[in-house]
Amino acid sequence: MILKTVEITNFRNYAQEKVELNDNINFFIGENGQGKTNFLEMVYYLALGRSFKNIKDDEIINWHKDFFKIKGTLYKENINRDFEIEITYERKGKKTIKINGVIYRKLSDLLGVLQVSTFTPEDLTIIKDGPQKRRKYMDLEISQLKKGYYNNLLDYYRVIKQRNNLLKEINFNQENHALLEVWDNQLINLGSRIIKERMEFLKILVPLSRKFQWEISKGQEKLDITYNSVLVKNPYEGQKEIINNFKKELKEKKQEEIKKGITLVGPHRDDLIFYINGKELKKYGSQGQQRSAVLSLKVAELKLFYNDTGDYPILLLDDVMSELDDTRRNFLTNIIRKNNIQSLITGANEELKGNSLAKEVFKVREGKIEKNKVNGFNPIRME
Amino acid sequence: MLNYANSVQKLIEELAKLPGIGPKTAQRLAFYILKGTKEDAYKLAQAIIKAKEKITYCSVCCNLTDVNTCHICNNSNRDRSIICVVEDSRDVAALERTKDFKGLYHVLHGYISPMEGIGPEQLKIKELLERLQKEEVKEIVIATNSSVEGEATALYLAKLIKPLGIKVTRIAQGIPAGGDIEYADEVTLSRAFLGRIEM
Repeated sequence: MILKTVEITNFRNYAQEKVELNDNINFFIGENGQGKTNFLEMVYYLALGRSFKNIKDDEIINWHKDFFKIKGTLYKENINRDFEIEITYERKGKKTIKINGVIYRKLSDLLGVLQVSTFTPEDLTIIKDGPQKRRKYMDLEISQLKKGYYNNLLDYYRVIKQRNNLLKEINFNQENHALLEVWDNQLINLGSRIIKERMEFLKILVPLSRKFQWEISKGQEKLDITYNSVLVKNPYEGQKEIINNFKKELKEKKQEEIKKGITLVGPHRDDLIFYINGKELKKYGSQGQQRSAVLSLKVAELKLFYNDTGDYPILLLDDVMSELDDTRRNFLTNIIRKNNIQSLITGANEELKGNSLAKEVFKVREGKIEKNKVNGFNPIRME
Repeated sequence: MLNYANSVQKLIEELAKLPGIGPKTAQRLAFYILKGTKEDAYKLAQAIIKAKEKITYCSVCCNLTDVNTCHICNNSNRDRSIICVVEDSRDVAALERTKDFKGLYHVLHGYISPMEGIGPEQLKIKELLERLQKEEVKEIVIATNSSVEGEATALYLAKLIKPLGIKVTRIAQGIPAGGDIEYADEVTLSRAFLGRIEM
């Protein structure tokens, strides 16, 4: 998959800009606050219809303007087709998604057209941080891979919201207990499907990540990842057992749920646990091991996308190269080069010196992008 | 905004309160009305007032009607042993357009939504149960929306009505007419599969 051109209007600090990208490494340099990350955010927005930052769409619109518009043209090699994605957002809520000139009403129609894989310094803490981050990671990846997962997830969270409201009210009306069963039914149906999808995702992701961790550590570290849920007793559990466990757990937790007024059972409480050589990585691993694990996970993700669609997603690396040491950085750039993965990489100026990543760099300054040839281009050292 | 005479301004404001009408459309509608004859304007105003004054809920099916009971419940050609339960009067109109359903309706006027404080008491469910006691009904078809709220309402009704010994069915969900199987998501497909019919 190659993103060929992008056009930006009123997006963040870009007033009006058009950029032609090359099909391998696109390196964006510039001082802080000039718009490097905003550019990656824009590409991410084209893929997923929202920002990777937790903010409102209104805040993305360029200061004093009423709308933003972003447009990308891409080529999918595996099916030999061109696509054009255009997203317009007007202040106070109107978002229009056009794919090849046709308006699509649902965000879920956009997912999967342009696929991206992001890697930011924030990802480096995915193992250390709270479970919410790991759930979000899984959900985002699967949403891009599996049609229907995203809608399923939205429905699930809607059921949780409704059910929590009911739990808070339940003691005022005896009839509410009968009503709770109705929501339980949907909670179980949607929830067990989410768990099943996540486990299937892991079944492919884990062996791949293990292989890469093994490579980075030169045969020292054996990575394992398990899905942690009270509803899954063993990794080969089928959906029927999950549904049965779900029913049982809800029954057991009912009083506690009513007391607290929240839903305590389901995939919104689950987590991923990482192990290196059998020891829990979060508790006993070094920072280096954790970084290797994140890197393995990210590279495995690329492979997983490739196995699934016959095409690599576009890799967005935001300020992450400087966070990796030489071994890990070379590992990543080798993967990119070897597999011809189109990558958009941001970094500071000095990263260019000596060890040039790309023959073309994009200089970002105050919302303007200038393409430059790099003198004395020498490709990344292959090891 | 105060560029118009007071009465014109008032008309625009009132029109803009309607759903789906923004200030610009409201302006266009107002000027369309003003351009027309006095009689046209009078007819429109009368139509609004008459509808508001005359329309009530049908005492049988709770649909909006200006005669009690409504013309569907009154129609002796309709099959009285089957009742289709819908969320809204608009759903009745949509189903009537298909001309496939010859039974009677029951309009709930909403769906179960704890978030909005809507429980079974706020819907016309009591009326439905009373109806089932009085009339000889063989089948209830539940045609609420396929949103999580519509689904919850359907499940709730099924639990309530099944013990009465009445057959409860749910309208099929799945591939839309003219839809591609290849592009359908898994949830839709598995639902379509469950609702397959013999040929």
